[in-house]
Amino acid sequence: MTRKYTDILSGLGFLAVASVFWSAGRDLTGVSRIFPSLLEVFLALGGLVLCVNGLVKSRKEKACDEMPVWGRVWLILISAILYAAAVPVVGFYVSSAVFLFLMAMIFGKAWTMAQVRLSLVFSVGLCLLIYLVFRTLLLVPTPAGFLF
Amino acid sequence: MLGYVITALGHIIEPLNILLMLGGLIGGIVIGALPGLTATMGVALMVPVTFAMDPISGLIMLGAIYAGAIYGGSNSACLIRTPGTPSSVATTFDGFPMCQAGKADEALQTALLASAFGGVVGTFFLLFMSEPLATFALKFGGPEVFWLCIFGLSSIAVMSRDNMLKGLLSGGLGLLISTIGIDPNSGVPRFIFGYYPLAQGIEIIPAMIGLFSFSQVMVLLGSNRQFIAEYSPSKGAFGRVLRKLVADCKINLLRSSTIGTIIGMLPGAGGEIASIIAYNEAKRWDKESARFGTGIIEGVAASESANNAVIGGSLIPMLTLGIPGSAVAAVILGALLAHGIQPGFKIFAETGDLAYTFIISQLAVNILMVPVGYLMAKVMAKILNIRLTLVAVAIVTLSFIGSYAISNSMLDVWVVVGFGVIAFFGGLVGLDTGAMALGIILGPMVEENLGKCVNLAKAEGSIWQVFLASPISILLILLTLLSILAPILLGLRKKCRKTPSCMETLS
Repeated sequence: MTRKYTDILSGLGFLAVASVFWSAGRDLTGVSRIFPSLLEVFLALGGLVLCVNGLVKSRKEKACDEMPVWGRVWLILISAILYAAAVPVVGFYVSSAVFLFLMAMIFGKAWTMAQVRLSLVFSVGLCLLIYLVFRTLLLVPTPAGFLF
Repeated sequence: MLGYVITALGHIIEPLNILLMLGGLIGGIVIGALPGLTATMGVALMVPVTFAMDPISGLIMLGAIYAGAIYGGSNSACLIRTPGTPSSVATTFDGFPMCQAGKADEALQTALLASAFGGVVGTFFLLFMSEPLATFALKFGGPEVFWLCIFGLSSIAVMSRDNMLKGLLSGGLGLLISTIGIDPNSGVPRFIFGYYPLAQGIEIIPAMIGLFSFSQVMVLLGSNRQFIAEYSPSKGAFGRVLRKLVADCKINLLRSSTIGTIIGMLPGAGGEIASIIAYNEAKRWDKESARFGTGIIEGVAASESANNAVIGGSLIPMLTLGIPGSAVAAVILGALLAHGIQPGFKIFAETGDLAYTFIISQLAVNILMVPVGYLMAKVMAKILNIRLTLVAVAIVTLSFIGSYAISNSMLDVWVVVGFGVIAFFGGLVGLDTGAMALGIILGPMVEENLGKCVNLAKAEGSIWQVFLASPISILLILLTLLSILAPILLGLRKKCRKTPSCMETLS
């Protein structure tokens, strides 16, 4: 992606954030309004400048060196969202063990018995370690669900 | 004082106290290295244990946990770009690139030595300068703290020299995000978008974990690498780092430690602000500032010496005035009160034995930190020999439980995911996560003190008298202007050098 497009995209992003906050804070009055309003104006103006820069200047230099492997990025992102949604329903330890096992298998080299064993040891081992440190040693509560 | 110091040395070399220092350091380093488990949490958890102890031994242990945890945060910051504590956010800027360049040992040893140095400098300030510094800290009212924050924000100009506009806008975005939740001045909930749990606001730690850690998981898994970094233990790394620090980083270390101590004294301003400001000052005064962020020892040294110097700084107002300079100092203050000890200037006269033993123990802890941290760093660096995919998915689980542990709220877990997504996709279009983090950290302080100033101005009938009344405010304004203008002027000079006609005009 060239600088031209990153400038336009980031400019639009800043404009969008400023308008969302402006719309959500319309009812605010007095001192609660001053600071956010200043920031909204700053973001909106800065976003506009970026958009204009992107449209007017022809910047062809690349903004980032290499693009990620999108399939792997979406896979971990969607899995993490599903994992976060499952934690309060199923319970932290079970959902973590399932997440860790599945991710270790999917991102692993090959679906072999050795990989299954490694993934099992890794997922159960890490969950046990977290249980020992957080629950037993430091008495920090973990999210509970209908399972463990 | 000398008599108390000699008695304190006697207490320090007692076997039980040495054991407590070692145990506190090891526990603190582990707590600090785990994302979400903070120094405050570690110290608070151990306060009840001190009730069964002699107050001196109890305080020594709490001080060791505090120092260990602040240093421990650097381990995960360098190895997996996950700041274990908010204080080590700036350590990720150079620590992780060093690690990726196969210099994990150097990064970890730099963090260790700089932390110990910063801790010792902070303790010297605590030992010899408590009274004048505490009086100086009392002069910081709303306007002074406001200008200090603005000075902190102005460092974005140094941080994002390549694209200052995007850096400033990223900082502004961070500030705007920090306004989500209850308004610190009027108590009104804002920007909760109909979702009431958002009234708790955006917690700093989950936001930092999302910005630096979760986004990094996406970057790591989005690459086709097998390991986070090539790692083979480097013989003589400790000696090399020590020589480099002594030869090239003396001023950097002293400046950063002083910044850490001074910021540590101010209530509300902690290690995260100190380390970012110290990092940016190190970058500003470096002859080749473009090297910062590429993985250099100077960056790690600045951040780590500053955040450990904060400890001594935060204990100055706590011991002399009974005003804690940080959340951990507040917990230690609670432990002192629970033992029936009243902090204040009289603490050095009435319970001098305890006060000086505590201070001297901080010196001992920072010296002991070097061998303890050295051995633990060797073990922790082994994480780089584990396959990237396993480390990356383990980071997701640790990020989730670490952020949940802050306030037992699932919202914090979603904050991690949300900020991870913002940092990853924002990074592709040039969003500066460091500047955004600075905005989120400083936002609540800026707004709270701006509100105080506005109310003061209403009462006094003049806004200028409030904002420009004290010499400290004026000094901070001048420093802010210098901070913003310096990169612009340096840029112009650089351009000018390339143009012969410009040079002729100048000469």
